[in-house]
Amino acid sequence: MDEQGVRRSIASAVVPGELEARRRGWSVVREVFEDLEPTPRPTSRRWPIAVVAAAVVVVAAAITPPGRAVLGSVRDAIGRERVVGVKGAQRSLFSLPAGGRLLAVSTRGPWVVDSNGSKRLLGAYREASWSPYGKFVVATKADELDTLEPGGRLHWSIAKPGITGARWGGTRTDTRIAYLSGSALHVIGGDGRDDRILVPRAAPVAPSWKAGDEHVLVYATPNGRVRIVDTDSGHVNGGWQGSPKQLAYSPDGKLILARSPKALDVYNAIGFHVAHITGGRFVDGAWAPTANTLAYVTFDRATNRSTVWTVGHQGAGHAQQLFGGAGRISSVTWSPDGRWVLASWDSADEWVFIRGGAGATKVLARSSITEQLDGRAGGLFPAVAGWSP
Amino acid sequence: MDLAGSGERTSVRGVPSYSRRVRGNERAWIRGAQRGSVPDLEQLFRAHWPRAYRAAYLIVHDAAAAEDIAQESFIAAVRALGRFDRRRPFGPWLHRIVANRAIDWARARTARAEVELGEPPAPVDVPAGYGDAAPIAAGLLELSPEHRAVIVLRYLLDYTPGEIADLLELPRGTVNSRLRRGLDELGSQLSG
Repeated sequence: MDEQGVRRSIASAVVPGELEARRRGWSVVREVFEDLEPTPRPTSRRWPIAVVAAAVVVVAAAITPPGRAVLGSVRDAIGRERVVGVKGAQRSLFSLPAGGRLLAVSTRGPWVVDSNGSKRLLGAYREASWSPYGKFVVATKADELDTLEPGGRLHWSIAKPGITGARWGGTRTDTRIAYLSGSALHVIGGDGRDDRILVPRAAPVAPSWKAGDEHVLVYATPNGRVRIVDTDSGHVNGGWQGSPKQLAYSPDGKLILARSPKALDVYNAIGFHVAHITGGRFVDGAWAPTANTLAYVTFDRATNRSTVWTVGHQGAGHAQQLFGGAGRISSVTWSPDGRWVLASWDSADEWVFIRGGAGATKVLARSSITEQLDGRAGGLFPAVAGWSP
Repeated sequence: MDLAGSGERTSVRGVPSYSRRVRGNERAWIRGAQRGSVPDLEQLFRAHWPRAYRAAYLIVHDAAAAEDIAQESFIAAVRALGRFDRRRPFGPWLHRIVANRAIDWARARTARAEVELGEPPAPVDVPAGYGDAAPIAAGLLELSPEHRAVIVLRYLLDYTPGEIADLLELPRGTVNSRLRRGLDELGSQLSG
């Protein structure tokens, strides 16, 4: 067969399910897109401004206390913004500043990164999260949910259409996985048995398990409500009105974080309002593993800056700025010992590890994350999906 | 939105060609999408989905996996649109992700089958309606994922060997040898 023959044959091959795949694909892509924010339009400033901006950044970095640093950006000759990362960032993931293992999802799939910097690609999955004690990973494709060991060994697998938001909860001996298949919220045993639909229609928000043996789950409904439900009995323990983009139980199971773009709210175990945080656009939030302290990221569209904050006292304390930078910081993740916060700084292609607390703050950074996990420079910044013990 | 009745110009069997018209409009669509325009994103999706999905399928030979790969590649691209340089074409950027993910998936399936089952990967059905293309589909199955990828990039997506080398970050000589060997194997399988 000559080259033209190959070309004709490949072009004329009938690919199964093409039309349905296209419809489903557009539905998912649009949903993701609508959840993003538009990119600020680049201005047409020229190199003299870039030089001044660079000088300002250098001076600011020099005089700002470490850890409270607000790092900036410069614009190149055609006016595009170029983010200046943390000075002295390590270019390789030689190690993590605390123990445990990171789970990061690149375009190639999820990676497990050990504290010594070694890493393993789990496969071509699009989402992944840890089991409660970090012994396993639940990883999903569009139509498949797999459970794996961090080393990559597959335990069991289930096929369902349109899987998203899988979360694993429970104790060392009795676990459940909740996930969305289309709009239906499912619960399945940690051993892959007893898959069932908990509610036929839920909002496209990952549910969150209460820690411990109660099998209590919080999820969002498509009609603007949040419900706290006992998945064994079906009893609704509480809830509130709202359409959050993120739900997260605190590690002690007493509080629930609900993030919407314009606010962070904290509720107690039966849905009573505890705290309300506003100011900026909220990108991500995470409970510290050892205390009722929150870390969260805000983004200011007008200045194109992201800021990492912490707030104690169940979200009702005074918020403290931990770190700031130009462009996007997409997530915050606590280390298992609760001493470090990892800020995923997309725009600088860096993971920034910040140690807060009283006194001086320490900042460590690892750069070129995309190249290390995506396999190529200039690719897509990997998303951090968790840091397990 | 009715994606079925797009009315756009198509080539063989409904696969839209990546025409100059598409390239000409692409910058405007990307600019619009970067500002949050869903209709512009939809145009971009309509222009690029069919080839992305077909390319993924011909590399992995699994419709569900191909859908997953194409979908995830688009989502990854959408999430990074803010950093995309509009002076560059969108297609190669997307196809790089698709091809690499498809190769990773095919490799993982092979490795898993060896480790978990001790058996070769499950046979893949060539779907009914493959018609004249059935032999080439079966022939592609006999090639390694890496060889399939260069064949698909060359003969479906019309990249030159130099461009394929850039996309897959391979030496150009490797691309040429994979193309040659892939064609030879296809030829021998189809003639045999």
